[in-house]
Amino acid sequence: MACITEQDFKIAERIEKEGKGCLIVVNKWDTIPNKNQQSAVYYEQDVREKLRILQWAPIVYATAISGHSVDRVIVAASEVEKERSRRLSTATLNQVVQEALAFKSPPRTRGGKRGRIYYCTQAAIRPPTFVFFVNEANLFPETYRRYMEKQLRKDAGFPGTPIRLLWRNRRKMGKMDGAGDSGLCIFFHNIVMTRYDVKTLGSDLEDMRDYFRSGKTKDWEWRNAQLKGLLSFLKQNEAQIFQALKDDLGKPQVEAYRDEIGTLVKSVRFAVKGLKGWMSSNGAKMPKVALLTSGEVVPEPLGLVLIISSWNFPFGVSLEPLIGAIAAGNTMVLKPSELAPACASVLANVLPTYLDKKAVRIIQGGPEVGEKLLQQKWDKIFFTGSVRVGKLVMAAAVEHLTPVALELGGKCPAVLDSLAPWPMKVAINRILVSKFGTCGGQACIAVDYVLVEKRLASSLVELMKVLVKDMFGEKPRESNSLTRIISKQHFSRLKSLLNDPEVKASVVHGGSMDEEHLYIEPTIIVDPPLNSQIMTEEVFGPLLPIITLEKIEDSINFINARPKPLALYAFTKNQSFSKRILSETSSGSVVFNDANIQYCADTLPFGGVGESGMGSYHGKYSFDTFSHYKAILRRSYLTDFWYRFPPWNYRKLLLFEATYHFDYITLLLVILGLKRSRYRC
Amino acid sequence: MATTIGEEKVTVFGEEEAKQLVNGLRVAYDSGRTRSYSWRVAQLKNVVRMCDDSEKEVVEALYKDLAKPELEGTLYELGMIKNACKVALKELKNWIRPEKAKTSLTTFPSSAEIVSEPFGIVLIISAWNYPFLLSIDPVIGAIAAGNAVVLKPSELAPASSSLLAKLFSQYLDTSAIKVVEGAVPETSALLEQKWDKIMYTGNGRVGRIVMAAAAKHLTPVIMELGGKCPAVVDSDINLEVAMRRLIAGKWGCNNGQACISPDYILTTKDYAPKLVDALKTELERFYGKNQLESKDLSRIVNSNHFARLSKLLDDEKVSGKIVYGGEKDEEKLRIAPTILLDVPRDSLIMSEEIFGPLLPILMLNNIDESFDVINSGTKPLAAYIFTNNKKLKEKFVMSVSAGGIVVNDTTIHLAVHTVPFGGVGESGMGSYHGKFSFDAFSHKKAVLYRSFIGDAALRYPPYTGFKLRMMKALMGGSFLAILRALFRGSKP
Repeated sequence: MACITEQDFKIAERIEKEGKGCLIVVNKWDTIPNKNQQSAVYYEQDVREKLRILQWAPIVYATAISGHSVDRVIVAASEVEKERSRRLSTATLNQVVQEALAFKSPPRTRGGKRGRIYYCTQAAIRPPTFVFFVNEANLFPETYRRYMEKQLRKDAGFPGTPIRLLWRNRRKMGKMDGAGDSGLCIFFHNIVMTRYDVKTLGSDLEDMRDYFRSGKTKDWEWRNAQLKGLLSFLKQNEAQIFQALKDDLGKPQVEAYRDEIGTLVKSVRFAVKGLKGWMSSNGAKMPKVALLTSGEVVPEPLGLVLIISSWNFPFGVSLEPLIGAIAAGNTMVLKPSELAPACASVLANVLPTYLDKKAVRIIQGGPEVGEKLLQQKWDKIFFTGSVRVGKLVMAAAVEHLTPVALELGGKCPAVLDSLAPWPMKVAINRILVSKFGTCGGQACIAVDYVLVEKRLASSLVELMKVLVKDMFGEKPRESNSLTRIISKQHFSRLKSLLNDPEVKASVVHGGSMDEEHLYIEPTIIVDPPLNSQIMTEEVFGPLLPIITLEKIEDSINFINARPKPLALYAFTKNQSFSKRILSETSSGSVVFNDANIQYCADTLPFGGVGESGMGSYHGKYSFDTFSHYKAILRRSYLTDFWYRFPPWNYRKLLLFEATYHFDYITLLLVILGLKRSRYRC
Repeated sequence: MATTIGEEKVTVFGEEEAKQLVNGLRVAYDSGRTRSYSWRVAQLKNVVRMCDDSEKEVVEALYKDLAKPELEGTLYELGMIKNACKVALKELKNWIRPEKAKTSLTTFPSSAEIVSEPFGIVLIISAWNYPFLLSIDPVIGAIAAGNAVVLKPSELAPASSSLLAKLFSQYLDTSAIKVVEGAVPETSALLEQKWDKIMYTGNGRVGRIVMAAAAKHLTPVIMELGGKCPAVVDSDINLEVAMRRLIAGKWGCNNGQACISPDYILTTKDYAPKLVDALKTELERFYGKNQLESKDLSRIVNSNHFARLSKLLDDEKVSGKIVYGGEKDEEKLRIAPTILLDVPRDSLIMSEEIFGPLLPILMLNNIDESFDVINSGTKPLAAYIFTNNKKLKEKFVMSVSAGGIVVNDTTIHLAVHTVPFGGVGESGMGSYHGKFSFDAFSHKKAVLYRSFIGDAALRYPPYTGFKLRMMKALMGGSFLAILRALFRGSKP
């Protein structure tokens, strides 16, 4: 029947090997005599038999000579292309794998060892590539691997493209502190359902409230254990976190460690160390008249809190507030951003196995889930994200009068004074790493633009070009040191910022874009028009505008004419200028001679003011954000001033006055009847 | 301007006027004048002078609006205000001083501090029950922190409101501190503007309107609301003293029209009769036989509130429960101290804040049941307990969530400036008094000073395995690890 030649077979092999998409077109279909519905079935069986290697390729029957069904070839080909670059959410993926595992578990070896799959994630597209993290890759025979591929195809499709399954030893990848298998409790069977059913939200939250009422979360032991759990999560899943950040953002490992894992480990440790002190009440000083009264201020957890985080530091800005919420003894729901799905999935699937699930819940989802969550009653909402959504969050909080902490962004300026050559180089390095070396500028505290004196601009640009090359090489895209843009949408937003003709004309370095892989080259722009979009909205990407001023002191007015930024960076050795910046501008934080580094300081509050947000966190401030400071006064029955009670007379008035002014002599005189009231009419 | 103290210039205060007002204040604020220490001190001293000079007028205004007894007026309002000013004047230097913060190895070498800076222009909307205290006390905090302020006193206490407007214009820097009088339209016009902080004292309904308006401009808010403040009375206490303190907090505070007044009593069935007897005796000792006429009690603020309170009493579920008082005089807007015994929990009086001279008593089988009653409701602004039982005391302090808790007394935490005053949950957010007022109106700006030395190349791309190892060691803060990473060199 079908004429599959040796040549066809060779091509098929090559297609599979190269990971290309494929569509089988059966031509001259008109020449088949006595066609009926069965013909195609028989024919297909035959093709599949002979081209077993291309099982997944769709077949199109066409007649080129008459043009019959030729258009279908084009449609099918574009379908194939789409499939080839499809990304499966890690959540769905793991569900498929979980089902497959439940149906057929990996075979046991003679020694009684059995393969275990910890986790699976899609590492690449074109062709779709899936990485399975397993205990030992050689425990999975070829047959089982094929079974897994079949199941994946059955549930998730991918017609027309080969898929790759990579099996990696988890132990080798994640060997950080010698944790053996026993320490890794991420078996698929323990993983909670990731597709959250919002219908049960109300009752789930009620359960969490009950749990809070039980008082369990208020114990120091509980809080400490949860923090320790968080620490183990960070240590034991380092490889997975790296991988997820690579999947979602192409984040280099050093960046991932510096900005997320490392910072978090440090923060958890700080909290563990400080917890006892934070939890203890503070005695308050009492005036002497308040004899036998003792006062104190006791921190108490707020109850059930909601944390909504963002995609740029999917672990950092999710877990940093979580540390505070746990330390303060709350129950909490965390909603990671749906724009970083791999990270969200690690948080939702792996993190709960380290924490008390009755008190900490991670709910994945997009805006609709976010909206549903915001309709519930919370005792505090902690939000990290954009100004636009921040306003929505606060508006939603009105219904239940919920206090909110909003961590927004803003255009963070870097003021660059004239400096000696060496400090200048250091300063520029610090600016560049903040802009291009921190999630590709997609950070709320990244330098947004640089203010510099006109006379310095040209030498500054030259120096910048050299230093950018030192960091990212000739081809930044291939340096493995650059984070990509999170999504197509953000990419096109940045593209449109650059596409403004006047802005385009001001580009002095970079500007190239790789739309397919969502990479933008580190780009420097000198003096774009101040009313162009790039200077009116937060850039949030690797584009660095440099604005030149006549005198560096003008920067104060420049900054004050715009909304209050989250951070202000000033590189200067001029003391009086530093003082002016400090007292005449307003921003969430000010850093002299460096950038971004305030994020790591546990002893400083991190938060915005005005447009850049409200409320602060980090270190003890995170604890405070999720605590209510309750005033407690204790009195005994022994002392009481008779003049506290009506009926009122002028003598009592005088006594009160003396009391309020802590004027003990007058108090004594009046009591003894030696002082007359000035109130007597 | 909208200060309507002038004879015939009754200007309408609309959105346009509000905008101009804010612009004017912005100019004053941007001049930096309000940030200077000397300006703050001068204004605070003026507040003290204002209180000293106008005591008589204040007492009169309070009498007009609420028939407030003179002593209550001078003490709880002016006395507390002066006290707050004095505390602020004494401590301001310390409050303003930047707070040094420790720095760690991660940011080494560096120094850090936290600078308190004013928010900018703040709006304070106050209430009618303590028209002077609730207006001026927050203003003191706002001034101390160096902000420009607009105060909107409550229109329900008109005499006090216009006196505030007059006094502020006489004593304070009118370019940076202003009073806008008015009701709903004026408040709405104000709320349309962009403020840097809003403080509202009042009820949850209006609180929501204020917060919704604030959300549009992302303005942080402080809400001082109310709630049903419980008072738990255990047996085996000095009942006489306890009841005196309870009366001072309930009827002695503006006749129950105070947000921290005890709202209801929780006690055991066995103890309740004794408690009622003691209450009656003490009430008579304080206010005499004819309490409806007593000069030592405030009246109800207006006929709306009078009608609301009457309705609470007319509820058929409680009408038979009155064991003391209950007399009303609609014309004079007076209600005598009233005690209701054994009130069911589903009655009207138990479902909303009473804010008046009615005191329901709930009877329990066991004093421990009071925790269920309190925790099943919304979080109150204050919770009181009278007991000598140490265990019960501790349990109450730890497991009852409220803005503040007082053991064996009522309302006195308001007068102690070393503890924060503010609600939680339905009873509000944010706190003030003493240093907490200063903090409430200050943005805590983190400042980190770095020098150009001590720069580690590992922060910068290109990233290598060595940099990762080094970073891990540094973040861990262990010198040994750092050494180890260093000696392993930059091999991949």
